[in-house]
Amino acid sequence: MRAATKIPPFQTTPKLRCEKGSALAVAMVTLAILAMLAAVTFQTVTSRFRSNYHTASWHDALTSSENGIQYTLVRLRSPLTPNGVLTNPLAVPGSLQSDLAALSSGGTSVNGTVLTGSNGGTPYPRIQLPTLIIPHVGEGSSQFSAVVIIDGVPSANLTNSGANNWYRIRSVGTVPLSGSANVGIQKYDNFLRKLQFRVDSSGNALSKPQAVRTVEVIAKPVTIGSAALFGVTGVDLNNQNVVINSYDSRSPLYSTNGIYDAAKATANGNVVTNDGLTSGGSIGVINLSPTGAHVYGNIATNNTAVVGNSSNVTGNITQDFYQYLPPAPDPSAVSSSWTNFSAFWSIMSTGTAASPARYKISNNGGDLKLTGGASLSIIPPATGEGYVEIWIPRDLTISGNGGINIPPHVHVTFYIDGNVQIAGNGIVNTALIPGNVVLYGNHDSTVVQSMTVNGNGQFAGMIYAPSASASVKGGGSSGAMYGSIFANSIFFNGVTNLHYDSAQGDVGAVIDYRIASWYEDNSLTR
Amino acid sequence: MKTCLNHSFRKSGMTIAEMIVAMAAFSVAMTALLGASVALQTSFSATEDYFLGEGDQLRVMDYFGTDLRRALAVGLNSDTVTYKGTSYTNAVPSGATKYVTVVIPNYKDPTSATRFPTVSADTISYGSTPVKISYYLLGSTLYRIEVDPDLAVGDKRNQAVSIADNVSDFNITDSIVANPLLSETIVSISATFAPKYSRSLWAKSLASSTTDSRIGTTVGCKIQLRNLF
Repeated sequence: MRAATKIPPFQTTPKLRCEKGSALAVAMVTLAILAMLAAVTFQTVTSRFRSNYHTASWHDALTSSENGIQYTLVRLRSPLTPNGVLTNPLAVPGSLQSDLAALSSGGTSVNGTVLTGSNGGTPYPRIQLPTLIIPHVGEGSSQFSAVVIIDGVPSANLTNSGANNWYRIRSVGTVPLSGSANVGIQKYDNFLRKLQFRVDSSGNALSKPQAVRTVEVIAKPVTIGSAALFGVTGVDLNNQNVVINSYDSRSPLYSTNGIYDAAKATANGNVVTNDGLTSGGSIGVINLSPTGAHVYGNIATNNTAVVGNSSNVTGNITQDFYQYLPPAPDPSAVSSSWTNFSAFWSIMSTGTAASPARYKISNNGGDLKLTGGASLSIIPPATGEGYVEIWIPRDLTISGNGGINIPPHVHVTFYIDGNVQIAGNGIVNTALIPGNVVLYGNHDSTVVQSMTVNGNGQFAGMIYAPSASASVKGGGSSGAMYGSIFANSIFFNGVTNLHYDSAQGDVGAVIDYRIASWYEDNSLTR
Repeated sequence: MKTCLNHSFRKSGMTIAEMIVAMAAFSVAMTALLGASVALQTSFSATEDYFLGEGDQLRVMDYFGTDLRRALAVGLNSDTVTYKGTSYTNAVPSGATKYVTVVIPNYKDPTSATRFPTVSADTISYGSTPVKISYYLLGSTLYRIEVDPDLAVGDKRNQAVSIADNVSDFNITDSIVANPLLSETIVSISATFAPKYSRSLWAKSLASSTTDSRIGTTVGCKIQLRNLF
C-alpha cells in the first residue's frame, strides 16, 4: 500500500522546476514602466489643469472686485432719492456722502470701519465697508469676497470740476484657489497673475492660497445738467432752424470771458431720451424733422431709431441709452423755513450757499404773474456769491415787459409747482451763466405740468422737470437759450438755438454717479 | 506532453527552437512595449503642447485685456500713442513686425505709494506723465515692455519681457460705440499661435498667413476700454 502511493522523485521535481520562470517578472516590470509613464503624464496633465484652474480663479477675482465697485455705487446712489424725490445726499444722515464729509480721524460710521489715509502728508478719513461676501455656484470656490474702501477726493485735488464731491472707490476681490498650494509651471503666468500661496501682499500667512485683484475707480457725480436736452419720453426738434450746440465757460478756448462765442462753439450738445421703458419704442422718439435739425453732438435713445433727417447731426447716433431721472426736489422737504413773499415790484436779498435766502410766493394763491412792466429783482451781494431759492406753489407767468432780473454773482433756484409761461423779457440772467439759474418742476410725478419759453428773449438756465412737457418756441429770428432742459417731453419750434455749457455737467443737484476713471492695480513693475 | 526526465537534463538549457521561439515572443512583447511607450510619449507631448498652448492663449489675452481696460489712450499698430496732445513712444526693436502701444495711469509715485488723483475740468490724472506699455512681435515671440517714467532708464523693470512663444500674429481692431453720457469703446483682440503638434505645419504656418493649420489656433476676445469715453 505504501509502495503503491509513493511518488517517484522524477515526477515531482520537474513540476516545481517548470513553475520557475521570468514571465511574471517581465510583466511586472512592464507594468511598472507603463505605470510610471502614466503617472508622469497624469501629473503633468494635473499640473496644467491646475494652472488653468488658477487662471479661472484669477478671472473670478476681477469679477469679485468689480462687484465691490458696483455695490459701493449702489450705496452712493441710495441717498439721492431717499423719499422718492431728488435730495442732497449730504443732507441725509448716515449716508456715505455725509459721513465722509463730516468724519474726522478716529470717528465712527454706521457704514463701516473708519480708517485714516494720507494725501501728501495730510490725514483724511476713509471708510472701509463690511466685507462683501459673494456666493458662487459651480466649479471652484463657493465663496468670493470683496473689501471696499471709499474716500472723498479732497477739494484740493479738484479744479474746475464742480462743487459736488467725487469719490475714490478701491475694491479688492479675493477668490480662494482650489487644489494644493503649488505655483503653476508657466513662469509668465506667475508674473501676470501674482497668485498668493503662502502669504498675502502684506506678508501675512495665508490658510489657503488665493487670487487677488484690486480695482480703483473714481466716481463722478452726474448732475441735472449733464446733457443739453433730455426728454424722458421723447424730443421733437421741429425744423432745420433748430440748432443745438455747446461751449465751455471754463475754457478760453471754447468761450470768450466764459460766454458763448459762435466762433468757439463745440459739439457736446447731446440730445437723449429714455424711451418709455414699457412703450416698446413707440413713443420715446427723437424727431429731427424732414429738414433736419442741427445737432452738434451725439444723439442717444433707448431702443428707438431717430425719426427725420439726421444729416445735420455731427456726432454718433446710438440706441443704448438709459438714465433714470428722479422726481424734482420737494421744496417743503428742502427746508421748513420759507419767507412769504407777496410784494411784487420789489426786490429780494440773497444768502449763502449753505444758507440761501428762501422766499415762497404767497399772493394770488401762489401764482407769480409778471406782466406789463412788473418785474422782480434780486440784490447782488456786496462781495462773493449770493444764493436765493424761490418757491412758486402755482404758476409762473411772464409776459410783456415783465421779467425777473438776476444780476451777476447771484444764484437762483426756482421750485415751480404749476405751469410756466415765459415770454417778454423773461428771466434775465445777466451773467449768461446757465448754472446760476435752476428751474425745478413739480416733485409730484403725477401732476401734469407744462413749461413754455416763447419769443426772442434770451434765457440762461437749467430746467429740471422730469414730469413736465417743455416747449421752446422761437417766434422771431434770433431766439437763443443757454443751458439745458430735462423734461418728460421736449418740443422745439421756429428759430431756436440752444447753447449747452459743458461746465453744467459739474453743477446742480446730483442724480447719479458714474465711473470716470478705472484702473487695475496689479503692480506689474513694482 | 514533454516532461523533464531528470535534473541534469534540465540544466543543459533550451534547444535552438526554444530559443528562437522565446526570442520571437520577447521581441513581440518588446515591440508592443516600445510602441506603447512611443504612443504614450506622443500623447504626453501633445497634452503638454495643448495645455501650454492654451495657457499661452489665455495669458496673452489676459495681458492685453489687463492693459487695455485701464488704458488712457491706445495706439493701434504703432509704437507711439498720443494722449492729451503729447506723443509717447516706446523703443521697439527694428525687427518687430506687429505692435500696439498704450498709456496707463502712473498709479504709484517714486516711493511706490499709490497716488491720489487730481481732477481738473473733469480730467483725472495720476501723476504728470503716464506709464507707457508696448506689445510687439519679434520672430515668433510676443514681447511686452512697460516704461515707468519714475524708474531709471536702465532699470530692469523698464526692459522688455517675453510673455509668449510660438505666436505668429496678433491683431487689435476697434469699433466705437459712442454714447453721450456713458460712452465706451470696444476693441477686438485676436492672437494666432503657431501649431505645435506638427513641426512641419508650424513652419508652414509661419510662412503663410492663410495656412489652414493656423485657423484652429487663433483666439480672440472683446475688451471695453473703460477710460476712453
